Amino acid sequence: MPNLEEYKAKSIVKQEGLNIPDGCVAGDFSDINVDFLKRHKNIVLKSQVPVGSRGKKGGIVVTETSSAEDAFRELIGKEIDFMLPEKLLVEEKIDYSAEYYLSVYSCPEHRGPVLMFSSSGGGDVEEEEGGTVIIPVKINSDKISADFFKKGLSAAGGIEALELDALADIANTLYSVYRKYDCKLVEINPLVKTDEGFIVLDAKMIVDGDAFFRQGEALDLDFVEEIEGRQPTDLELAAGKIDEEDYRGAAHFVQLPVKSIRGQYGDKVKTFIGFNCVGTGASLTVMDEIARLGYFPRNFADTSGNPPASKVYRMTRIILSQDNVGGYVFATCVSSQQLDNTARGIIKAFKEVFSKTGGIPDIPAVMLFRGAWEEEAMELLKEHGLFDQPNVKILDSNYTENDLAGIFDKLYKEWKNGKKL
Amino acid sequence: MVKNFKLVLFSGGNISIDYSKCRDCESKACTKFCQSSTLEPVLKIENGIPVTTDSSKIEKKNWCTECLACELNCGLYGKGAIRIELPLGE
Ligand code: SF4
Ligand code: SF4
Repeated sequence: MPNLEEYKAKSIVKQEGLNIPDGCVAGDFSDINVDFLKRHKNIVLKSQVPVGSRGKKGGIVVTETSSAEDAFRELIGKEIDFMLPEKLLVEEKIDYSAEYYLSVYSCPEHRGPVLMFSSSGGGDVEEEEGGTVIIPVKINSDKISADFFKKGLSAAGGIEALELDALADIANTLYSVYRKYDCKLVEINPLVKTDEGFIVLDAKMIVDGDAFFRQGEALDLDFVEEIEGRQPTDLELAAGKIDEEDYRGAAHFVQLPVKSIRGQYGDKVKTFIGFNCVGTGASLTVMDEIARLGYFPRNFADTSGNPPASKVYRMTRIILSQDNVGGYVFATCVSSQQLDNTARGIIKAFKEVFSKTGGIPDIPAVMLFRGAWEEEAMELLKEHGLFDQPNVKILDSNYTENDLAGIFDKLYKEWKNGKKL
Repeated sequence: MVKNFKLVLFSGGNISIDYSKCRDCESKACTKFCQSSTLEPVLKIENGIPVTTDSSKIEKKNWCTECLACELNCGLYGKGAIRIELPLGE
């Protein structure tokens, strides 16, 4: 589900007719137009990392233009929730008298779009009591009726009658953005009231992943997994390409945050493992069992739905090209896919990644093959020399996820103590 | 001289065969497990070298199932003549 960065969402609502502050996006201070800096005495620098409560986390800085360069350098180098921004949004500082919240989102309960308004916008809108009015918008209507909107809005209180017309227009623009770009959510927070009218100070758009085929190019989106709250990594982008044109089976890949796992679990983390599975149910059990022993997945991956060997090969290459990987675990559920093909994909990847050791992993590796073509898979792994290796254990359907974790633990400890290839 | 073999794959990438290595190969293991998406395999041996069984199917999407068996078998039992290139992130 692609989550657009603030500057992109804002440029779209601007195209559709809403007002946004004068500004630009910049990866370096020198990218900022000199005339822009001359025009404004005070500016706002906003880190373009997709995290909530950015302001509270130090991701938004208001500065006098004269000291903007230092502030820019500091903010672009500042990690927020373990993410480093590539760009900052640089905008004029806006003075305002009131801030509101306005969004249209796909509501499972109403089975359609819902308009949400609060007369108290800003960072803590979700925590505010009162002031939030939810107006269900009829799914078949092209336009939100002004009267319907006004009736709902007047219940929020504290809004002058004159503002209602302007707010109804903005809500309709937002609804048309929601429809035009196949959004799951389009949100303005805050929408501020100024002497010159309403201005969008922050905007967010989440586009429905199933609409990728028609919005991908228009919105310059990448085909990736649902990784809400951050931008995709280079490897996630590469993994997204595996499935983009090839309908045979599925390849899912998401990287997990090394720093925050280390921050949370400290010394309990023995190492990170490259991880792949067939069937997400089994994968959750394996991850639970193995993390409990101190081996944390560096990634989640799934190659199920009977993919060709080439798809498994590509996924294995991506998994093994991650940094901070001290082991490899592969596990299937009791699967109906052709596991011999799955094995071939892994074998080819091993031969290339571990070419110095003849295709035998030089890190501890445990692989659990259960299901259709299991025997053929075993034969292939044997044929290619992966049985009876000090670093590698191959398991069949006599083994459980719990067994796998224990065997990996033993293997890792032996490997750590010097029994290496 | 026979031109070397090249087959473009549905998922991107290709299979190439260096025929100069095939003449001395006794196993012809590349064809042992070829499993196309049709009844006929993709590869057969003709005049001592692997060729496609039906050139009209070369353009057919997913004819070669990308099982990788030809490359792996050739590597183990043949002369390492097959290279399957599967680019990443393109
Ligand atoms: S197994 Fe390899 S070397 Fe032998 S014929 Fe086939 S491609 Fe050529
Ligand atoms: S990859 Fe598989 S199906 Fe394709 S030519 Fe090789 S053996 Fe045949």
